[in-house]
Amino acid sequence: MKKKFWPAIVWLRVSGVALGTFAWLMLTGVMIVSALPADQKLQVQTLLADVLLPRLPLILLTALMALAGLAFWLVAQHKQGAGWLGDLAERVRLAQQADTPTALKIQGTHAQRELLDAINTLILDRLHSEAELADKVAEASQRIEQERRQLATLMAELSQSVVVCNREGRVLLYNNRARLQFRLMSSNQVASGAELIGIGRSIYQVLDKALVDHAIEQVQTRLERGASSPTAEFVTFTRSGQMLKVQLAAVRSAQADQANQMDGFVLVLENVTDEFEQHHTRSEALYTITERSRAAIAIIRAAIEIIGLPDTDENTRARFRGVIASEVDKFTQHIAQLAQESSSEIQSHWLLQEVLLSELINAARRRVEQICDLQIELDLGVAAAVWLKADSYSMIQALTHQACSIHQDLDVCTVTIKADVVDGKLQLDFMWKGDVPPSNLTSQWENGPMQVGEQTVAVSVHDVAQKHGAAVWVKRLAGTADTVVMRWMLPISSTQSEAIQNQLKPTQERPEFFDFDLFRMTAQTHAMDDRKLTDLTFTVFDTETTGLNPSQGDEIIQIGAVRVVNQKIVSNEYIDQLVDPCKPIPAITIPVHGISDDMVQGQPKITDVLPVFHQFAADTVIVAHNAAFDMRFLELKTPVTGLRFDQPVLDTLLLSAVVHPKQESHRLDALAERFGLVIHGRHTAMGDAMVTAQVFLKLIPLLEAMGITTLGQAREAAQKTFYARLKY
Amino acid sequence: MGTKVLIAEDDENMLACLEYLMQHEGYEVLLAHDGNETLELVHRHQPDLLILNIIMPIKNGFEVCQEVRNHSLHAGYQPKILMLTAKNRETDVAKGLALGANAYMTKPFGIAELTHQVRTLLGATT
Repeated sequence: MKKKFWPAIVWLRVSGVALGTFAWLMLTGVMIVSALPADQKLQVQTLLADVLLPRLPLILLTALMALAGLAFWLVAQHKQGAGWLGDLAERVRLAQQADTPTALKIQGTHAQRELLDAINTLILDRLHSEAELADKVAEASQRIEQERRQLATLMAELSQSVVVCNREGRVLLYNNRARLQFRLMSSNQVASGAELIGIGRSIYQVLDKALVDHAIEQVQTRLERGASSPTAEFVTFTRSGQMLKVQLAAVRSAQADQANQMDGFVLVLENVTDEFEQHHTRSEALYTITERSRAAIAIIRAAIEIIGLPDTDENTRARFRGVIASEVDKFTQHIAQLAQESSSEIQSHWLLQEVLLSELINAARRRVEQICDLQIELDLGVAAAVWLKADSYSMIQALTHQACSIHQDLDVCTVTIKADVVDGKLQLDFMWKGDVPPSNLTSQWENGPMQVGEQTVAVSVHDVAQKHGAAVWVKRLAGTADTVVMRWMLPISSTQSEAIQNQLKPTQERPEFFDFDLFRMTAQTHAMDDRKLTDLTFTVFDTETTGLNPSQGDEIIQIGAVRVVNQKIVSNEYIDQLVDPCKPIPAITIPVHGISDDMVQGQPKITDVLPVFHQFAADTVIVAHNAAFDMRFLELKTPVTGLRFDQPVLDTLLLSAVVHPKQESHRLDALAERFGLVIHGRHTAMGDAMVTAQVFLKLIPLLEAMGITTLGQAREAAQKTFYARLKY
Repeated sequence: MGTKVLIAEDDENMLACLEYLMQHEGYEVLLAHDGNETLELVHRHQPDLLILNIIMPIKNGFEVCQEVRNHSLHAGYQPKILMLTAKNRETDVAKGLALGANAYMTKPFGIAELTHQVRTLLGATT
């Protein structure tokens, strides 16, 4: 409002100056005239009366015009100066907020150039101070990083899946094994479990809250009774039907006077689906055999008693002897079946562990050399580095038994062991010169009990092979006339635990996935709108589309999303997914997003991707640049998917217009440049989502400086901007 | 007309034993090999006693017992039911009795024990 009055003030001042000048002229004139001799005084009076007085209107008019010109000039000068200052103020603020501010361009009047030069000196000073500060921070960070690594190593070493939560069940930390465990439990391949577990995400998305609450209550009670480290256990089923054994331990309050209170809890998760199924099968088998035995014994006992009755005739006795014989036969068969089942049960309990092929073969070679006079040459090649999941002991026994059999039964003195990986399987060949042995001999090697030195082992090579999912055969080596090969074909297995093991590469074994600041996060007792932007969790996303008109049939072809928790981008939790639009991608758009028809072929459809994105974004605030555009695409799919994205939405374009109303451009590129952000993968959904997330994090403190701290305030401010009136 | 005993049992050998024992006791014996046949014979012959195995094809002993008790086909007719089974869990015993069995015996059993139980059940009716 003040701005509207300042031209009037200028006018008032000019008028004041004019009156003052007039008064000064009059006073000076009067004083000069009064000092003149009488005749001159008369001449002056005559001159005034004859010359000036008749022309008074003209004099006043010219005076007024001069004054008006002066006033206009002053107003223009004032306006120009104020505009320049306003612009300068915003540029200085930007420089102050940017990570690496650029020097201001020096131009304008001499004074303005002086001022700009002085500001640039300040900016340089700030950069120097920041550099010094950064060095000190780096030093301190290094110490913290060292501690982090120690914790990371400790976590990575754990063979269990570990998840740490705050009192409200929000995840603060999880190790890589937990992440992989949840990925394996996810029935969806789109986000591979990222929609299930994440920093700041509620553990109750995966585990039943009532169960966890019950366990917490148990632990809390024991804590209050003075137990030092109480735990509680429960078993639960996940949505994908996996059975999890969960151990819950307390994270005690850090405050001394509340040591018996829990700040959070640690969950140790173990997938016991297989173990449970085996246990269940065993119990069932035991129960069935018990029932069968009872029935058989009942018949035999009744038959014996009938035979023993005094009035039973010989025919009846013979008939019931037959019954007894028949029952004994049936019972024998049951026993044989039981033996077989328990044998496979025993086999299924063999301890399979990761073993390096070279170690396995070298151990077998040493064993062979101890037992028989056979020379073994090795040609393992690159396959030496293959890891097998094997029961090393039984494998070494089997290989030793076979090598020594070849030596003893065929008089072979030298065997070459060659290894190759063929079609994802390990091909392990024992090769020697000679004729192919008869099949009864090779059958005996495979199916007979294994002889290892003096020791005879009841298990056969066939059993060992079966246990390892392998097969063994003997034949002439293809393309040779005198070389025989005994080939083991072993899978380089893909069991669950191995899948986890394989993904646990040393560089990834660090739990980068933690944020202990969340311990301070309080329950969501108040509405989202009243919560501070700094406390909220955001899903920042972007889409690439076949065109700009969602309502005219354009479709999403890529979706990228990251999570922002506690003002940090959680880069490990993301969705980066191509989507089959089920229609051709217009050639004109391909240079923009770089996605062609063949890239989306075979990718999931939007109806498969949106449910995952919906779950990923659950319980968060959605953020996008020019959100109305992307949200429109999602909204138009509601009738098909039944999914409603009714979370609060923030738009970085609108928020930028709120904090920098004088800047002409609020495009993502312009914002990134303004904030000095480094851009990777611009115009991919994931790349743009990342940039948007970084921009958003820069906007939060600027909004705060304007007094916009809560979600509600941010939404209200955004709605008031000009850009908010544009519609898609 | 003599006392009729219906033996429902899917195991031929057990059926043979029970048939002999009941005939030896002087009862008129009916044989059924599965749940449906049992119900049909109950309907047609109205036996005084059912000796029911639980594990049977088509309908198990529990189901047969329940149907006999719930859907009395002839006014006032209710046979005695003896469940004779290898299922010895307490829960199974309780279930059998709850569904209307008059007695529950587990295999293996002695002849004396069985005949005593049968006589007791039938004695109560006559």
